[in-house]
Amino acid sequence: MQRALPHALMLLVAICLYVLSSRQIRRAILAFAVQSFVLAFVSLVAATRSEHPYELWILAGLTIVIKGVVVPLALLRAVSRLKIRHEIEFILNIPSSLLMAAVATLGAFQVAQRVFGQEVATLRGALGAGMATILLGLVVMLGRRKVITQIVGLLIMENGVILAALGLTMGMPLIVEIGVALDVLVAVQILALFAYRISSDLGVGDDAPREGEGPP
Amino acid sequence: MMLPIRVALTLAQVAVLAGLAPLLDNLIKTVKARLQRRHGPPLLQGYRDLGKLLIKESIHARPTSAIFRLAPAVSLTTSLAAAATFPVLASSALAAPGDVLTALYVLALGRFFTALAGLDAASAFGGLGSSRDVSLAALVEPVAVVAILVLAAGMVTPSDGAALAGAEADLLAPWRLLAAIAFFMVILAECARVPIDNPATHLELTMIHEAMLLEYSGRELGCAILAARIKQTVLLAMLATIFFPLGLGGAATATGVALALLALLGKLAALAILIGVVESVVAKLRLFRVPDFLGGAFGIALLAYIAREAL
Amino acid sequence: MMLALIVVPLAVALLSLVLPWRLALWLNALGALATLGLAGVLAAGVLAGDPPPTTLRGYLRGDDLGLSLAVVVSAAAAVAACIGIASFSAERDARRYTVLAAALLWALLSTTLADHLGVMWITMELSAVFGAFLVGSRGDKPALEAAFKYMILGSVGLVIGLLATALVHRVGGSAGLGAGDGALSFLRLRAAGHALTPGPLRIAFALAVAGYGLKVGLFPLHVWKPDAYAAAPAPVTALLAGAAVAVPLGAILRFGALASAAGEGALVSHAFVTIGLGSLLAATLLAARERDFRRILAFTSVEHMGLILLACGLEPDAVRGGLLHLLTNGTLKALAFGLLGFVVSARGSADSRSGPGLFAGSPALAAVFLVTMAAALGFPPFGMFASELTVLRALFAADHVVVGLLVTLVLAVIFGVVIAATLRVVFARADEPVPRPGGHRTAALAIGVPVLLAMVWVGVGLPTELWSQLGDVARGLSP
Repeated sequence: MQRALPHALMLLVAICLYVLSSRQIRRAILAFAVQSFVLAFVSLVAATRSEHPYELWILAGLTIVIKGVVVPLALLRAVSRLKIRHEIEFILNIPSSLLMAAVATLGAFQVAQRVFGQEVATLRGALGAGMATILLGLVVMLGRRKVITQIVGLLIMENGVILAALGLTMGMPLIVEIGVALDVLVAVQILALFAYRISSDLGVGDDAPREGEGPP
Repeated sequence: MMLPIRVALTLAQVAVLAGLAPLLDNLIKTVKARLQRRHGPPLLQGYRDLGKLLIKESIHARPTSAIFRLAPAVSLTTSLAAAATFPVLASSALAAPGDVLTALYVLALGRFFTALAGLDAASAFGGLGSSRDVSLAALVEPVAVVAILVLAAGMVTPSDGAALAGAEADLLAPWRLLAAIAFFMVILAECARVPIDNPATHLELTMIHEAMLLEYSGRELGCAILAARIKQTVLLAMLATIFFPLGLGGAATATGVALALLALLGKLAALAILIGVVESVVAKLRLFRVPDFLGGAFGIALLAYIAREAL
Repeated sequence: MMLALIVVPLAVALLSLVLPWRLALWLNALGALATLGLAGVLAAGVLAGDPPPTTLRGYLRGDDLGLSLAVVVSAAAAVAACIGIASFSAERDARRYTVLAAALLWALLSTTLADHLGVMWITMELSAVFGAFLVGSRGDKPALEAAFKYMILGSVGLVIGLLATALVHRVGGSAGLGAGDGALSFLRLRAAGHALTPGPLRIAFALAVAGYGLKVGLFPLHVWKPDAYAAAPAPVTALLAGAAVAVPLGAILRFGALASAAGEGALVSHAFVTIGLGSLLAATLLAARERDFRRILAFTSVEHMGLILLACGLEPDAVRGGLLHLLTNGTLKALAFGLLGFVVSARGSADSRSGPGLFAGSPALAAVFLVTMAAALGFPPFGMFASELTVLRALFAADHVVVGLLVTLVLAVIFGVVIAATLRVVFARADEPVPRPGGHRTAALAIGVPVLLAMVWVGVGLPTELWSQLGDVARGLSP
């Protein structure tokens, strides 16, 4: 498990690149779900080195349940309710957003190494990977127009912060982790709700209520 | 090591790679056919096709110049030369100093002449293919160079024998895997494989590599095709031995060379099957999306660099 | 008593779910006034030297900054809630408003009083959730889009703030505060002072300014603000502009205090002054382009937040002015946005360059509105005059002549922009149609006059004792 840590970290960053270069919203959401599972794996690795492994087990469980399953399912449901065909609208095209991503990733690892290089690293490379993930999530948000994609970008940033916190201090106090996870859950539900109501207000030609119309 | 042995081994290496080239291409075709529930060509069909072409006479279109006649020979020569630039059978047994980067740029010379020949016949499709091929080359080069440099960090040359022998400890390190993935994507682009180009297509408008060869016939066509096959084998062998130097012995003992040859055959077969699967699963990209693909490859190569530096 | 400060708005929110809706509106206002009273008493005690009260196992701790902010928040919330009584006529809107507004007040007060930086983050995210629902409560497309923008940009800011929190956690852990909650306690972190490693703390501070600055709406992170303020109902805008923006600003001040404690005061000062000045200048230019009065006021909110941040990056005298400005700006902004809601419904338009004049139809409302706008622009004898003057005097006294002149110039320009719009709204040309008389005369008078009188008291009658106590708070905050 320990030896797979660098692979997991690289996989986390590589998934961001995949999201950046994918044109289909569903794939981006699935990639985010996979990323959450990898993040849970990283926190399990951290648990083997921590003095309080239970907190990290709980974190892993929360990550899997909320960000690996519930949130992706909610987003997928929103996508099918919004009747989004498949294409993601781009503000930045794929090569230039990948270029930005490359620069951001290099910068993140540089900063992580400069600032924390001297001290003993708790989880080698996790801070850099986390900061890279945050920046790549930001690139996803800046480069895409569709609301669901922006939500995915936000969630990726959030994963990055959790990863960076693992790299910094083996995770934050339990109350914070739980609060963050629940907040993410609520925030995504709300954003998806707004996204749904905005686009149903557009009312492309039909005023009839669609099947499964939820909000009043 | 004695010079004659080195020369002999180098020649043997070239012979092996060139000899395997038609077989390897045929293997990819077989894998694809099997995945489509067809039988596919017999294993030696590649040799027969080439043999048939090589004994036929070449016919030239009227506006062509000497470059057109020269180009197949040049690309065949560069492919063969590239096969001699990095160790395949024993890590310290090259007749002349060279490394993987040399191989890349020697191959680029062959590509330059092929592109010129595509323009030379003044047909629309040839020019189309040349311009596409050259712009593709510009996108591929940075990815290939970064991937190889990641590998070369800490070595004297990318094919430094001692460093290669010592690489077995971190054979599955993330940077090595990432660099290998990026280089594999490079190979797909360089060898005109599916997400970039379709080697089996008959639609001139979608061709890249084939379009440049449309005006060739007979012996020259055979040369050009053989050159492309050898180039493919060389690049795959590069991935197999430089990125994963498993089984590559240091000294040129008989058992060492035999072991290396066996490992090479196994790895090449595995890569051929992989390419066959990829070609069956992935759809060809539109030309305008090729930069996305290679941008992704570049991102992965850069990630390999980061993984090597920071993890 | 500390606990009561948190429990009252929560109880109001829960009761509003079941009570008749008119009663719930009144209860909401009473609850907000009660929190104002409680916060005032607690703040007076702590400023006079009592030990800060703590509750909930030390997660909440009413230090001087926290309680001062609680006063600011509950004052603005009380004004907004009173406006709310007169603003709703349908049950569904009213119930949604009361529940969410009380819940928002609860989240905001918890945030200001949180000693634990992680808890502060969680409650701030909660306030973003309630705020987003309030912004989108009108339910049409612009409102929903504004709410989405508010929520997603706010979430980005909060994610960045979370990274800052994680960095501080690491720094605290390295300074010997343990790996648990202790390394996120503001009190303990600040006491650790120079034991905090400056490098990571600098980054944490920068991230906190960027992240929470997005929530405050500092230039160039203000883009959600005009949309949200124009789309939300008036009492909501009053609550957001008066109360909600002060809270993330408080978070920025806390991170600044930590960085200053670790010996990075110069960086904090530079950052605050630069960003504050940038917000001032940009907001002025942007406000001059707008027609919608609500958007103009939104940009003045950006501007005043910039002024407060700028003041908080300088000498204690300026910080004192900044803190006072937080109170006066919060209260008057809440009143101004609330009255603007009445004005818009009386005129039928928020456009400041066309539409009927207010004075002809509802002279009383027009008068209160005019005086409020004058007070909010810094006319004497209202509190805003005193706070702006304090800041400016401190600027010149400490030889920040260029900054002082720039601030004066900007204040003069924004004065011109807003006063022109106000006069145009109140006294339209004679050929414009006259709006129907009526409107919210009683409500405007009943809410506007006491608030304005209170502001006069802040402006001219603030006890010297309180003034010097505020100076002590400022000395603790000044970088």
